[in-house]
Amino acid sequence: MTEAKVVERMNERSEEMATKVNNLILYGIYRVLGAGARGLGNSIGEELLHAMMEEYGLNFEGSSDPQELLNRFTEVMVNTFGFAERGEIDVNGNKVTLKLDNPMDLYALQLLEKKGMKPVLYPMANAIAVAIKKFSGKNVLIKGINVDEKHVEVEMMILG
Amino acid sequence: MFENVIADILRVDGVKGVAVVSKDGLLIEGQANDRTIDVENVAAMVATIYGTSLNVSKEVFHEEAIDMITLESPKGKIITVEAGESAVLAVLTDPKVNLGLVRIYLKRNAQKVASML
Repeated sequence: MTEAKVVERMNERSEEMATKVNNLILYGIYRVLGAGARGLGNSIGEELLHAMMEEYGLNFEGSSDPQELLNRFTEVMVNTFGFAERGEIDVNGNKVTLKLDNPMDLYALQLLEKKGMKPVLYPMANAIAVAIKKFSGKNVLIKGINVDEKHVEVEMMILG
Repeated sequence: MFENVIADILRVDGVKGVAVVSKDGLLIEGQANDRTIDVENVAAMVATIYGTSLNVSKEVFHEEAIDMITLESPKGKIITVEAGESAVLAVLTDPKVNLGLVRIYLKRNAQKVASML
């Protein structure tokens, strides 16, 4: 193996490890706080949205249509952030559904389910809720987080 | 959306603030007469206290349900109740508030909030 390949492999392993450590931190928070972890969601969503806008080029200028706004969010989340293999956000009346294929935090969510803990917090959905509040003034509630082998689906409701 | 709920609870003597907070820590609507309070930040903390208390109840009493959470400080109280599956209702009061009365107003208005979400 060439030196460049070794460095590339080490970087890949570091990324894998960082993701795993972050997932384990999330799991640890859940184990102690349980449903209390949910209360952290909005603050985490604010920081995540800020990072996506400041560091990853998410830009909502020139768009007031919620679907268009969320399409841009998905593009940055999947193509720039690399959070999931594929993402889709649908707005249907006051219902918003986020569907992700193989997201980075799937391991943590599956670990929670194995231990009998229901996921109550989903940072990407919290960031979407903050974005909607910031750009339309409407509050968004996260109503459900569903996890299976390869997908995560989050149901949200826009108030008012 | 919840103006009437907030106004109704603020009528109780000694109540200084009211907040409808999502369990995700988002301030849905609220009012506090002390402008030094960062209501949005407190909303996130209240949601976390509520959720963590549920976890304590589950561990200790094997019951994931709470009637009410009261945080008592020498300078005041924060009382929180569940308002449906997605939100909580919290009030900030003087230390010597009539707790029975606050409880009645909170329970009544929590039902109203729950029916609207």
